[in-house]
Amino acid sequence: MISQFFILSPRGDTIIMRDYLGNVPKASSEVFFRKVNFWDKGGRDAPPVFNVDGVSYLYVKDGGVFLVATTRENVSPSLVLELLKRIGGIIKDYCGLLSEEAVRKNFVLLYELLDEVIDYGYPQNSSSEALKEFVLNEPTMLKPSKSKGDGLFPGVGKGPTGVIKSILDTSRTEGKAREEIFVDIVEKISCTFSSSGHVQTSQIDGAIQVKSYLTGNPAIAIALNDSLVIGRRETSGATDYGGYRHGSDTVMLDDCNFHQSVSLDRFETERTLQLVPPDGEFAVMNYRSTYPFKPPFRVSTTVEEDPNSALKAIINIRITPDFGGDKAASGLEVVVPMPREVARVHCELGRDAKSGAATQSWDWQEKARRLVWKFKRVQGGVEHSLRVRATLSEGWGAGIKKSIGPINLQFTIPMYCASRLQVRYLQILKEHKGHQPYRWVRYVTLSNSYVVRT
Amino acid sequence: MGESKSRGEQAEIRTTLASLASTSGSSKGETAVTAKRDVFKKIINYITIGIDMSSMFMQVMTCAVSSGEDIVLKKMLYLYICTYAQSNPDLTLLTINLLTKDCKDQDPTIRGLALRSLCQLRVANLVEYIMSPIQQGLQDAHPYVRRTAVMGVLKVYHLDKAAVLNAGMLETLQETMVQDKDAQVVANCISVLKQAGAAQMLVSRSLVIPLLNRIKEFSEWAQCQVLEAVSAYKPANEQEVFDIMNVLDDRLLHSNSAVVMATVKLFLHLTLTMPPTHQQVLERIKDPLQTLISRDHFETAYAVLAHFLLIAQRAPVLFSQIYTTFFCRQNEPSYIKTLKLEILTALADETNAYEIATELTEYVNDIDEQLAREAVKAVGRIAIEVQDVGGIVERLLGFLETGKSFVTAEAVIQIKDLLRRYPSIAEACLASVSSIAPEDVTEPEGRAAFIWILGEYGHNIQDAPYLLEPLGSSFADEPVPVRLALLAAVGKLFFKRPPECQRLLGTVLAAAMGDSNQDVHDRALLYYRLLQQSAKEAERVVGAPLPAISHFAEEQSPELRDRIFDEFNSLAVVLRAPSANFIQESHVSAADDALEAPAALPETPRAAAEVDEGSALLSSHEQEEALIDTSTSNGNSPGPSLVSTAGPAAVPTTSASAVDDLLGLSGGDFAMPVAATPAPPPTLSLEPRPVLTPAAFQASWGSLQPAARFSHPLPPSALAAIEANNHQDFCRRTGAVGIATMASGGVAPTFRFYMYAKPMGGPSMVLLEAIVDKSAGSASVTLKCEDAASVQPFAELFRRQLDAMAGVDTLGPALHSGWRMTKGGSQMGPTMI
Repeated sequence: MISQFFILSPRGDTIIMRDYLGNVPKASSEVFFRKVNFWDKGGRDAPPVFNVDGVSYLYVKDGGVFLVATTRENVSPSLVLELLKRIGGIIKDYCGLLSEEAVRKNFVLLYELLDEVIDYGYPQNSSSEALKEFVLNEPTMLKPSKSKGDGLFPGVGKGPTGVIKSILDTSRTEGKAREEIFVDIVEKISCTFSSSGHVQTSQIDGAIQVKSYLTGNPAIAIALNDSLVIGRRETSGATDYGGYRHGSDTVMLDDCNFHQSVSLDRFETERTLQLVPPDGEFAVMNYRSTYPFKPPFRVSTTVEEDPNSALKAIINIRITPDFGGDKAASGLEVVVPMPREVARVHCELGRDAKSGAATQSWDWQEKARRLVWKFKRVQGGVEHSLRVRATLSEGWGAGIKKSIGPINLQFTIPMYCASRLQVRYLQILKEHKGHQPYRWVRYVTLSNSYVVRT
Repeated sequence: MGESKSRGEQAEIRTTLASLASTSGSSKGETAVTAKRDVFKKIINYITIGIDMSSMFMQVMTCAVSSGEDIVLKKMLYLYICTYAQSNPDLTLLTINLLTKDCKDQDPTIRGLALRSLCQLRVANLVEYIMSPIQQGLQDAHPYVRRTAVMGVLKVYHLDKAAVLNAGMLETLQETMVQDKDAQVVANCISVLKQAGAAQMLVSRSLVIPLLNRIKEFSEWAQCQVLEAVSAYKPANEQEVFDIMNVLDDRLLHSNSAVVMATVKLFLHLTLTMPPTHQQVLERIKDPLQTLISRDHFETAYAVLAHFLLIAQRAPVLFSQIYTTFFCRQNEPSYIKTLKLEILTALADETNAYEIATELTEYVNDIDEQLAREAVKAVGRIAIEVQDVGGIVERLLGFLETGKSFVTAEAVIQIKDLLRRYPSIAEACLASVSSIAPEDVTEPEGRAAFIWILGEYGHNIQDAPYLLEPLGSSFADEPVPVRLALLAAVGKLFFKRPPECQRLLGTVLAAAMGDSNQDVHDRALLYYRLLQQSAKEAERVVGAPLPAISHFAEEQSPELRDRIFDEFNSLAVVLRAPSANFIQESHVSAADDALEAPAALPETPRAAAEVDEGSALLSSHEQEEALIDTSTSNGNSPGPSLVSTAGPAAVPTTSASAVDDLLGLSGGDFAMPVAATPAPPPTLSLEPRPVLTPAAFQASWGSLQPAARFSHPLPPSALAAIEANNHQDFCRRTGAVGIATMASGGVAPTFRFYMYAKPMGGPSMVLLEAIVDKSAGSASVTLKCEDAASVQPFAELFRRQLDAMAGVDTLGPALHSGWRMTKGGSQMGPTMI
């Protein structure tokens, strides 16, 4: 299986190194780092698998660090990459987060963990739960840096990726730590609009993420929409918009997969997942839907010649949040790539911005040739517009209109679920002695690839 | 971190260790343990960053032993011991006692830890101490210890195969595999037996069926091991295949892609002989695989996508309806996008080509230049592969007008290929092509393609000669492929539009014949002589119409793809080569030092045959000069023409190779013709592939005194030949006789070569520095060698190599034989001069 495992800092320092088989030169981490940094002369991302002089390097980049395995065997790439991903997950479970600093502060703990996870290159015990038995070092927790933004759930402050808490919290200090479980429906949406504003392709990639801090590992049941339909029906033609158009609450998914711990006995009949959640964070279910959904944002642009100046173009961008006024998107960024002809731009925020001028700003990134229009918060149903005066290096031509864009949006909408998948209830199947654990069920929709062509 | 600083800290650690070890008796309190843990942490930190801490082996041991009951400390101690055991076998012997004692501890965790460390020492002569703890471990009541013991068997197997076989351990493992209740123990048994080459023990029906029935007890990784092992099993009949697949079907719903891929592999292999079921399997896996590539984890998605590509190339029809899955997303890394474009190209057929090409067209505007290029290529490829779909060629032509020079260049290349495949579409393409100017296409390959089109279709492009004209005057400044293409294009165009091209042809031929590049020079000479002999024949050869190419060679042959398919779910698929190409014979546990020395420098003579002609063409340089003279004087004589005298055999060869090259398809690297005569045997024989690392070369070069120095005169032809092809031809030639190149470089007129060779049976390497000075017309050579006896013979050998380069400056033997006969029709060879 694997010959070595190591973790490299963003600058290429080895911060964890374990050699299992001793059949790969010690300098492999340097070879790896050089190769990754200068892939295609540094212009491109190195693929996660490559071979140098008979040694195969497989890596996963997470939290800024490289988790790397080397091997001389013809292993299954999926197996090794999943294992690396899992190791990243274990580090997060134990240290609260994965970063260079977290690894450096906890390296003895990590060696201890690694010893149990991999023996002689073969994966052994990889559940954060079962590993607890063998781990004796205490984690050194880090405070999350403020600059990282508000996390996934600005309002709540915690989330599957926002909770900075080691799973050792409950087990070591039994009774004192807060009993809680997070169930989050995280949906990432990809949507491509044609230049005429139609949705060309769209997809929802969702996951039900669970992070459990319950003592005694009780079983839980997660009930989903009764009307959940999985799998493309043969009958669905181009006109069938799922239940969406008809206003019914049918939720249509193309396909899904489940975590090892899930029992599907009640899934077919009741759409209920039953499981004993192991400690740590994991996806109970991943799903994918290509059925049409209502895109949360619509964008329209116009590009015109400036009647007063031959060397100017006027671009109007209007953005319409198409969701309820009770919800708000955070961290919306509208990125507009500009053609070479555009020397610089000046923008006027719309009149509506007066009330919320502080929450809107624009930034011209000259080197990357793109304009970024940023919002701290966008309330549903409230339209915004931006008027851009672009100074051109050569005269106006029709080609300019074509070469602006495609516009790309990034956003997070808490408590919004594009597929309308719902957790009907979350039940903890355990005798309680007057003590109710905290149960958090949350929804969030994020942009994955939200592209508006121009 | 400064070396001195770390040394200072090491001394500090040593002092702390000593003081902690001595005080242990009195202050056994928590503070002492904490202090010890801290100092051990420091040591391990140094080990991690690569500083050698082995010198404090004894202190570390003493310090830890006195607090033996602290497991945290013990773990760090084990880590330390295992790191340095190999380099300190004597000291390691001292730890054996401690470890074997811990193997009998009450706490199963300690038993397991100690056993694991004990097996990990990697010291061959300690194997005897390890055997009995392993035997006991295999029988341990606690599964943790048994798991460790099973892996221990493999560790010992790699150290001392015989010990494991003699002890009958593999048989024990086989029993354990059947009987053990703990799934991880079973999984480890499978891994070990497979590694130990006892895989045949795994594939009996009585083993496979129970394993599959309890598959859910296994961890996700162990499931992969089981599935992998089962894929070697041959079911008795089709019913059994269905049974197995039914049991495992829900594994396709696993969220771990490794489990899904292992299941897919098993299903595909089980059904290879059942085509309808195989198709069903491919249908079945479509959705799960799509879900796996949609997760926001790019690395694992990449591995799955690579398999998608393989399947898509085998059975494109199956996936032609789900092409939108492979549209790129804005946030994906480039390695995913590149793969997706390839998949889209593979899937394109009559039903979806237009939609795919439309999507690809969007990527051409992407900020990522490489992606834009790949998108153009993909559209071109689809235009070639999928016929009768309107709109795709138009898109390709549209790329010519984007105003981005690299897009234009890629598009021209694709259009050139398209014209080779479908000459009939020329009319539709030429208007767009002729609207661009050569200076719009800056990249050599694109410019060469553009020139090719002008040459080939110049009769339909009114401006063709005038578009080429400026290139003729800047001929010398163009890169080699462009020069070659230009020569060919002007040659062709001349026969189509002589009055407009005559001057241009003259300019180009004059420039090309004085060219320092071998290929350019040779081709110009060929044209020149052909034209002198007979314009008609020249037209036949140079201006021959091209047959349409019906099929472009694919990057991977179907056979290769089948071989890779056999290795489904392995690195072979991702690296796109059968494992034999990138896996060397396993040398598990080989000494590290041996590995530190990288394999021989890559300067290995790959195609010996190609290189062999070395000195065989020695005299042809003079021949050639003579030939030019005589042919000009004989020019008007009605002597037999090239074609008729050379006989029917020679003509096809000539025209075929000429035509091929005129296309610019083979670029500048067409193989040198092979001469049949072997090189005269050198008086000194060299080992064919000497091995020397750059570091070793540098060290020896620095320490040795020059053994010989000489200057060797070189004719211009030899100089040109040495310079040609970035020195590679020269290095390959010397490589063929056993003189390997360490480094070569320099800018005209001075080039430097560092080479080395090992005389057969001789005691030491010969190192060589050659400075070739073009302006002085000579090479100054310095030899260094410990063994004085080798120096003179080697110097002679090297002189011959340099001389041989002069002979390279000729056309191939096939042409020559033709020319010789043309000249006099009688004698051959040097006698004529």
